[in-house]
Amino acid sequence: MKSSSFPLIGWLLFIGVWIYLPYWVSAFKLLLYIEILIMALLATSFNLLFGYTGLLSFGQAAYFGIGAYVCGLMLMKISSSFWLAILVGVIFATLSAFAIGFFCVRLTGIYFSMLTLAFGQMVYAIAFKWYDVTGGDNGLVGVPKPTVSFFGLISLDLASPLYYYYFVLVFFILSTFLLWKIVHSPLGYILRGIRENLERVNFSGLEVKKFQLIAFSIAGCFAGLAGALYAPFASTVSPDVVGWTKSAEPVLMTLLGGSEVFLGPILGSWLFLLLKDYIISHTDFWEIYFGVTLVFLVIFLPGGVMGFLRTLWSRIARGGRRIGV
Amino acid sequence: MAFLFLQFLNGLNYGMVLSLISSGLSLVFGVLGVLNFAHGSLYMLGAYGAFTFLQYFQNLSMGFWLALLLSVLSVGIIGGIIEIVFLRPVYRRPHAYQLLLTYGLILILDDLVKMTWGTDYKVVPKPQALSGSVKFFGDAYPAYDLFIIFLGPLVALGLWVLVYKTRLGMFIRAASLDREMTDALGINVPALFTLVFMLGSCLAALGGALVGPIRTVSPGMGINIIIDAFVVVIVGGLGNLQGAFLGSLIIGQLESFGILIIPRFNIAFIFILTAIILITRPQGLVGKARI
Amino acid sequence: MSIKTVKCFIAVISAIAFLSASFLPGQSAAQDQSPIKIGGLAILSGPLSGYGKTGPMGAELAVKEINAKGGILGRKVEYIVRDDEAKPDTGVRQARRLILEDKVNFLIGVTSSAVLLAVMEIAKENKTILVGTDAATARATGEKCNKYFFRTSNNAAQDSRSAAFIMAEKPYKKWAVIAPDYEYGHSMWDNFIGTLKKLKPDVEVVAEAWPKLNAEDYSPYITQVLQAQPEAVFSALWSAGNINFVKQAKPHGFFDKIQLFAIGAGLMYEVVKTLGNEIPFDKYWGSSRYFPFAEDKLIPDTPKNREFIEAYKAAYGDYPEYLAEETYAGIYFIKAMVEKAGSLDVEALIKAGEGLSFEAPEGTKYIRPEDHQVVEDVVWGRLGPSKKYPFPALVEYVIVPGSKATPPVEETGCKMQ
Repeated sequence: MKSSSFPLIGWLLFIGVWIYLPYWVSAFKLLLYIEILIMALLATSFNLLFGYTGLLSFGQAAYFGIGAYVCGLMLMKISSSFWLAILVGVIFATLSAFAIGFFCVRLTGIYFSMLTLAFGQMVYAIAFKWYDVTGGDNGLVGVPKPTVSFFGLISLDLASPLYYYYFVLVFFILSTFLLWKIVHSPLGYILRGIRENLERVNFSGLEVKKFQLIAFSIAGCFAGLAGALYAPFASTVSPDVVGWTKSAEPVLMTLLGGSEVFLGPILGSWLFLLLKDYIISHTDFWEIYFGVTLVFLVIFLPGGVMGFLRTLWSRIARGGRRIGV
Repeated sequence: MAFLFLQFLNGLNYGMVLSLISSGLSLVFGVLGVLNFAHGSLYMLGAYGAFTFLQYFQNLSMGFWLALLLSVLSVGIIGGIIEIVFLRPVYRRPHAYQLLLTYGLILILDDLVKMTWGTDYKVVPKPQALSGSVKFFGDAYPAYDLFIIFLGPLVALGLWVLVYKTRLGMFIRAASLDREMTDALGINVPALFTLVFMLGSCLAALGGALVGPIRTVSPGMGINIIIDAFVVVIVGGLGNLQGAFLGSLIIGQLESFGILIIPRFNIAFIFILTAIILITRPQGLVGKARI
Repeated sequence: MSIKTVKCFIAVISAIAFLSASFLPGQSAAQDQSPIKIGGLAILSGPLSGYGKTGPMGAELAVKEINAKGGILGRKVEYIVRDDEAKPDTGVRQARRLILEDKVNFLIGVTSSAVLLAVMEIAKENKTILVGTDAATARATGEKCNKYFFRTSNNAAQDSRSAAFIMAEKPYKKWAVIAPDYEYGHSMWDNFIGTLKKLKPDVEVVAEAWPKLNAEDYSPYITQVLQAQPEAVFSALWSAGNINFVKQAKPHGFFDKIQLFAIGAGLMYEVVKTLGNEIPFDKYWGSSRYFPFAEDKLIPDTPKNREFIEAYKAAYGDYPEYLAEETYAGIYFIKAMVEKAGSLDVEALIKAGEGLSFEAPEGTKYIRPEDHQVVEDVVWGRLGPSKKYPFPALVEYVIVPGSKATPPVEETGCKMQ
């Protein structure tokens, strides 16, 4: 997708849909959409690594979890300011991503994935065992929903799901916008260059590892933000949000939506959570339906749903001219 | 001393179970290039298969072994079907898609198992001859566990002979190095791939059928072991049979002796080891030597 | 993004501020004809689903009985169950779905302690009463207690303290523990050994083995424990963990070398049924929230208990797991609470629930007002081969009164809000 082809109109439409969404959905669906926004942010940050840099991280939940735990701890023990809690959570997540990424980017392919998994599970082990700080296997219980004030002018009580939705939406839109800018900046082109042809980038004199580490840290930063937004939403942060099953979610969402398209992971999160919610509420054997859907998607829609739509669109667009060829 | 020796045997026992599973995983990765997440589900099918076949042969003295054999063969056939139907379309896709596909297969197989066998725990009785204990320095050790300790290296050796000393093994090694070239030499590579995947499935099923008598057979037993098997394969070096064997031995002893040294951190043992090995030896313990 | 967008966004926010009241979950006024809805949370998928499903089975049986007798306050009862996958984040999502989408009046169930603590926050957030029927963490009616939560099953402290009173009578002094390394395991052991040491100061701990949760291979731990030569071993392994342990320990000569094996969830029906005669009968002392099958009679030998077992067998063709009975009892607790309050007003219900006594198949359950924890008798016993049942039954047992098993309120750390 060309950067110029998704201008202001596209962004306005995209934002408009999200803004009006609460008018169309039930109280429960609104909460589900908060989760969709948060997971979409996590998946989009993951895709900066996967789709744009060609690095498959199996440990993205670690940074999500660090953001969530640190933000939750700040709100429970230190300060009632959500802004501060988010900031500290994001800083911790980014720093950990930088430290872990430092080791991971030395490896390639599946070895890189396995090292991210190993580090992710170590973070999980710490969350699971450090009772005094993280609450151990029970997790942080009772993260309060804060009241946020905007420069002392307006204050919003986030106990209201509607306010929480819009609060998350603002962060979501700003973050996707920033990620979009990053992807279409010189840095983004270098990252794609690394994905396409590592050696060539190396020969051109750029330090591949440095750029991969930058991408890893940025992905960790936004994953941490998603985690920080998640903590008060769920009220509880348990080791489960750090483990590998959670790390699998952004991978599934991204592949479902399509990793080649910027909006793919967002569509993927939406599909993933709605599909799962729908299937799980209709049958006990939801796993088999979900598994069949996954297998079908991989075999028949290799570019994800977004990739499929794009191919369809280009076929329709060219269809007239192709006739008779 | 006796204590340390028994603890060593415990580690060997777990290591040999892991080795059966991870050698199949590694073989499939080495040749097909697919990291099969659903390998654990095939292991589970092996255990359920042994349980089911044993129902028919309960009164036969060789019943256990017959059930084991039939279970391994049937899972091999199931593996062949999986390879032909699901894996063939995705060989040329990135690893991530293959992982996603095999993850989908886990969900499907787990639910199929629940629909077929229900969710209560199944018990596979031990073969009569191995149900007792052997004495070491006055301490009892289960005969069945010893049997697994002896069987593990035999299977590994058999696999090694198959891959390195036979004509079929030569084809397998050739295909793992260069698929196109092997194809050009007139070898039926798709059939070879199916065969290798069937072999991998048989090894997983053998592992599952063998642990049936010492562990509960339940849905979800596959997902518990697959991460350990992944770690073994990574630690040993992907697609490397000797590496998988060595990795299994190390993980087995780590789980066995680690709890004596840092008892409360067993949850992270294998991941710390993985990280250390990947950072210091990125290609795994047994260097670049592929199958 | 343009300034216009931002303006538009702020405009929408403020406009919605006025409308938001209509979105918030309101307590729907009780309509006299509509059914009373109870939302269940249980593990319906994954490895634990076989056992998890017995909870809803018990609940459905209770609901069927209640509806056949005219419902509660003349209103029908409806039970809706959802899968929490034993994951806190799914539990949170499903609890919200039950409250907001299914509009349930009560929540019931929850097996995992982590899920329970997470769902308790959602119940509080939405001012909905949650009845816990399984998860054992003492924190739920201790430091994390809140007024919307009642627990009608025993917690880990009661399960394990009760054992200490029985074991103090036995001659063994050298104890070891094997328990899964998470809160339940530690809480069981701390309460057991703490109480035992108070009753019998010369007790010593010779070995501690803490396998990880859901471990499948216990051999290294078996050897480790035997090395220390304990006279008796306390265990908090449960379900598959317990089955694996017993199967693996036997050929290691474990049960020949120790005198007694006390296991908290050792009388779980699923475990007894699966292990059958592989249980080392003379050494194995176990408990369960509900295992009424003694060889000579039912415990307790009441018509209610007999009828429950018969009805359950008729409905499902199997004997009830403890979880089925606990969830069945939980539904009857809701019935008793509503009938005492005479309405569905939450504050009135909480008042009615505090200090309530009600009859369950396993006997009288009393809800302590200070921490909303049930106080009831705990049975510990030894199994033997059975002629009466297709699984081993109790041949020797001790009933520890609830007042003895339950820690005093001051020790729980509960400050009800």
